[in-house]
Amino acid sequence: MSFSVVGTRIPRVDGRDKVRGKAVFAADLFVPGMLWGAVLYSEFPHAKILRVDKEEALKTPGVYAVLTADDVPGQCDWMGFPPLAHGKVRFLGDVVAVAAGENMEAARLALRKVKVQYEPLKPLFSPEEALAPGAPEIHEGCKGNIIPMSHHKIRKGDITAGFAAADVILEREYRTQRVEHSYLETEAVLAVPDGSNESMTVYTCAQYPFSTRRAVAEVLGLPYAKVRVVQTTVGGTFGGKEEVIGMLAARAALLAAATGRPVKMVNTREDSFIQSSKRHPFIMRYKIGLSKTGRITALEAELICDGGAYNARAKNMNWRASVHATGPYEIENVKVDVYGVYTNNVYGGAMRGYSSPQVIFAHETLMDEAAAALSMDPVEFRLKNCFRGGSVTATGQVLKEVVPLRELISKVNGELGRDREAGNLPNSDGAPGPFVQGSQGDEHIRFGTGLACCFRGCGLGAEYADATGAMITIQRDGSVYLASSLSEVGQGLKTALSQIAAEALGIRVDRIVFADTDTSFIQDGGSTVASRGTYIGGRAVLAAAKTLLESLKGVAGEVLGCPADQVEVRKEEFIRRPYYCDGAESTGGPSGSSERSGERSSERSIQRSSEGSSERRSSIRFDELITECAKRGVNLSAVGWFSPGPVVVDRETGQGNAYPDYSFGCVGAKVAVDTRTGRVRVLEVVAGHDVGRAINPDCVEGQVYGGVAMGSGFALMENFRTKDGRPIDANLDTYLLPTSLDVPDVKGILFETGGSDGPYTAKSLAEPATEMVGAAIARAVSNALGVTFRELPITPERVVAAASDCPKPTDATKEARLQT
Amino acid sequence: MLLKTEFVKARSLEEAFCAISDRADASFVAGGTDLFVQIKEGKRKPSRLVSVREVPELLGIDLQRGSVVIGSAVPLSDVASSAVVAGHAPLVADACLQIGSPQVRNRGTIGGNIGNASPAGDSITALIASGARIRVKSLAGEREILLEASFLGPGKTVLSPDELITAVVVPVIQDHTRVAFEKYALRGGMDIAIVNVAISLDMVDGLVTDARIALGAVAPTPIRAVEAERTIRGNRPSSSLIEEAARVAARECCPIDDVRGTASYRRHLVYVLTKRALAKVCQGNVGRVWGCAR
Ligand SMILES: Cc1cc2nc3c(=O)[nH]c(=O)nc-3n(C[C@H](O)[C@H](O)[C@H](O)COP(=O)(O)OP(=O)(O)OC[C@H]3O[C@@H](n4cnc5c(N)ncnc54)[C@H](O)[C@@H]3O)c2cc1C
Repeated sequence: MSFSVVGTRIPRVDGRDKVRGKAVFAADLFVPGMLWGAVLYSEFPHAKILRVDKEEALKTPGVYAVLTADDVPGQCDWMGFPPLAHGKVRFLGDVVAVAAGENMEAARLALRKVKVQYEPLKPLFSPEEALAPGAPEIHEGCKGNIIPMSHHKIRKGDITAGFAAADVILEREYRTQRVEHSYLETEAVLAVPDGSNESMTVYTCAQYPFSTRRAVAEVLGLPYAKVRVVQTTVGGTFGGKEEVIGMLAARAALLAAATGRPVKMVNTREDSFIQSSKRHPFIMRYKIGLSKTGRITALEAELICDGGAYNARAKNMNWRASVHATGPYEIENVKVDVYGVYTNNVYGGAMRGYSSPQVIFAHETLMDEAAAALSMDPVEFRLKNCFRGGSVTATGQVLKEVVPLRELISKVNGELGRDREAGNLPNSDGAPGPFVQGSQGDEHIRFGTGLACCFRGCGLGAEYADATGAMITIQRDGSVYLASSLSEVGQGLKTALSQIAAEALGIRVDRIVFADTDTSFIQDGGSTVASRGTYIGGRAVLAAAKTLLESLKGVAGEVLGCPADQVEVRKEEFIRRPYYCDGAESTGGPSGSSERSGERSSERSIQRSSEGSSERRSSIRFDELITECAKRGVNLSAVGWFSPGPVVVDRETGQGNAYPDYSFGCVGAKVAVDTRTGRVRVLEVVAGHDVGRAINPDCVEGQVYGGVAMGSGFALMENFRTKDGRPIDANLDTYLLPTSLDVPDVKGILFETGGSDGPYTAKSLAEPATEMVGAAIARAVSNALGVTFRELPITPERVVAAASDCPKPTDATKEARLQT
Repeated sequence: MLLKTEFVKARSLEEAFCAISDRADASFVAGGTDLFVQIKEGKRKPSRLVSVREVPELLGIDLQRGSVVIGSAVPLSDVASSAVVAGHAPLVADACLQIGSPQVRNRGTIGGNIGNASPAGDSITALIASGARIRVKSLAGEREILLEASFLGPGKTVLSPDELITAVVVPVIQDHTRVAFEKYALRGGMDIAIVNVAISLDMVDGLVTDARIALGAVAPTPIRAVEAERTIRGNRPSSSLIEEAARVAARECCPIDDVRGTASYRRHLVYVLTKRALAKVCQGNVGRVWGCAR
């Protein structure tokens, strides 16, 4: 198939505004009469609220409202989260009161005068404490503090028999840390009540504006249709701008409704750190059975995540974790249990990759440990056990698509091997890296390589109904308005969907204007998550385009004197099929014609029409066709809707077809480790991805680069540390993210296998781009030192500690190295 | 209701001193890269800020009687790129180049780095190892203080609030002096040192005639590793001597646990960095010292 727009590297359609600083963010909005809102945080990580006295606070000059949970006209909870805490506080980010004032200082001063009486309760800061017998219930009636619906199971084959058949059994525990999204733009919202105060418009950087609308509608007790959420430019979200935005919007809307004035709330970075969700820390206990021949006979896993004080994600995220817990390996006997636990820590939420970066770190470290236990090369071990076409997953799903995993692994390993052969890198035999002499560094620098591979279910799968919409309206002048239920959140969706629409309609992409998401003008199509924007959203665009094409071709047929199905579209031209004559299709000719004959016929048609000939035309240009449609009163607006259909999975065994498609990937990393300071330098990351098809290769590469940066932070630096529930890192000065100086060279290898159900066979990429990177880097550091790291992040202090007991390379290996 | 802070932009030393002395809780500000952060965090609440960033008397870099004289309001980026500093006080240029990021170096000043008195201040360790003094002025008069004697603790100096650092005076490096600066931070840029080390050795006929070793972020103020200096002074450098001196330096510092690192890791880093810097200085180039420079 050849394309004219899909697959091209057009610049981001929203790029100009962002580069020139013209993009408007929620914090940039000012309206007359606007008040500023502020929040009062809980003083305890776990306590009963006995009394809140706001008498004094209300007297503060310049303050128009001070509200607590008692003032909420609608529901107090949204998705289980209280925008204003009632009865209890469960973490230090709980908000007990809000105030609106002429300026931020007035509002804050008022809140300092609010008197809250607490009865402190025993706080629980780890899943172990929360699961311990006799631990207090963080949510009343929630026995054992296990998050409802968060327990997911996989039962496949006979686990006892699988272990009985094993020659070697390994048991390992892996842990990952809490990670902050650290998007550039902190959360901001402006709530504007209408004159009669019976409806509310909210401007905010929501990842999922419909969910924000629900939050506002529920706390105000308004019907959804009376709440309008307009999405402003989103300065990054990565899964983070969901719960925190819903609550911020609900608070601002409560204040706006109470005062009858617009209310703006802007989080400082410190507020954002305290209030926003984090990547769930996981404790992952694995047991694996291996045969001497290098096959995996059984795998048992217990994965526990720290869900924090409230949790709306573990029930879905843990499902994904259960399906992917085995990694992309064919294993006959599998037993997996995943569950989430409430604690008094900041709550866990969605973050790019969902549970996968954590789970991949565990199963890929396990694969290397298993290979080492069998004295096998880890790559060979993976090639032996990994999925191929027709493989059966842990949920019993047969992989019907192309599975390029072996090719990806070989290719990425080849890239790493190149350096190994050139003597720049050690062998991946688990032995420590050699001394490297000369200008490369000194004897304390060790080099290492590692790789990680994965499969990823595209879209939501069995999490909940996956369906979304799009609307295309062709204007009278031929410009095109495209709206999507899914949103641009910085990932490039506007560009990808515009390219898909242009390709489908056969028009130039610069005709398309992509609308920002506005809940009053487009239907709810689920959240922009699960790497489904292009994959699912693109199909909705195609559905709308198909309806429009039918109308356009119908009119073109009338003009050209042929049935609609004999009209083809090419480069803004609607052409009568050349083999169609006088109502009968000639035999033998191919249905498509060459580009050149198409052009010739169009030349002819122009000539004829200018001569005013009555002879039948063979083509009509898009612009003219639009005028013809207008003359005929033809509707040129279409709504598209797409759902891959329901996915049925058995809850007790986890068996079923979990996702409609899977994408596959393999990432390799090369590192240099300074054993004295503990610094790890990531030299290069080789990222191999099966993307189905790259709608825009630049955007795909952008995702890969960003994913590598994020993954290297996960592996080496980022750790949202808390002490007694309170963040130790209050801002980005001590919560360290990689800078441009820390990001390695990235080599992207894209496989365009086609054959998926996505638009033009595109698959998910946004999350695969980051989810293997942490694991690959961790494996490379382990390889460099000959020590296995089972906990992230691998900080310099941990490296120094590990290096002190790492085996010293012998003089013999040193000699050998110098000779090769 | 708003926190009211007056901002006075001084155009001369005289204006600066007038503005600072008629208000009790006024504060000098240069680039503001430290002070504004502290104000935002509520740690400082000056009612008036007196900006000295455009005071002409504070802006030059000159050679005066055997010293490089750097105006206190000179941006760190200018110190780092000055040919005079690079030629006559290379240790200082090197350290300034490792501060923050280009934006921070364009805004932040050398006087601010000293005035902020952070134990981790990168230019400070380099200046101490170079034997620098600061010129301090107020309406009451002028004095010159040895830099290493001007710190009392984190954020505390011997200066009174109305005293202004006008210049930093760095003795010109001698032909027989060898220097090295090592900073270790978690990431490649925009990061405060977990430890920094600056070394200046005078070597005559293969003998260390004088040694100055300054350590940052391992005590309440930047310190000199006097014991380590004594270990090598008067001796001929060898790997065992370097090893010994590095161990002594690690022993004599007194770091604490904080968000950037534990005390024991810091002590370990003092050993590693001191050894690295000494090796660099004594043995000539031992290969690119990887992992510390950007
Ligand atoms: C993102 C970031 C990264 C940073 N990275 C580093 C780093 O890597 N290494 C490092 O050492 N520092 C770093 N800093 C700290 C800071 O940039 C430096 O300390 C800088 O040199 C301060 O200079 P300034 O002119 O901005 O000081 P200001 O903030 O203006 O002043 C700091 C203090 O010094 C006083 N002061 C200023 N000038 C004078 C004077 N002439 N006489 C007397 N007192 C004076 C002020 O009253 C104030 O108390 C960083 C800061 C930021 C924001």
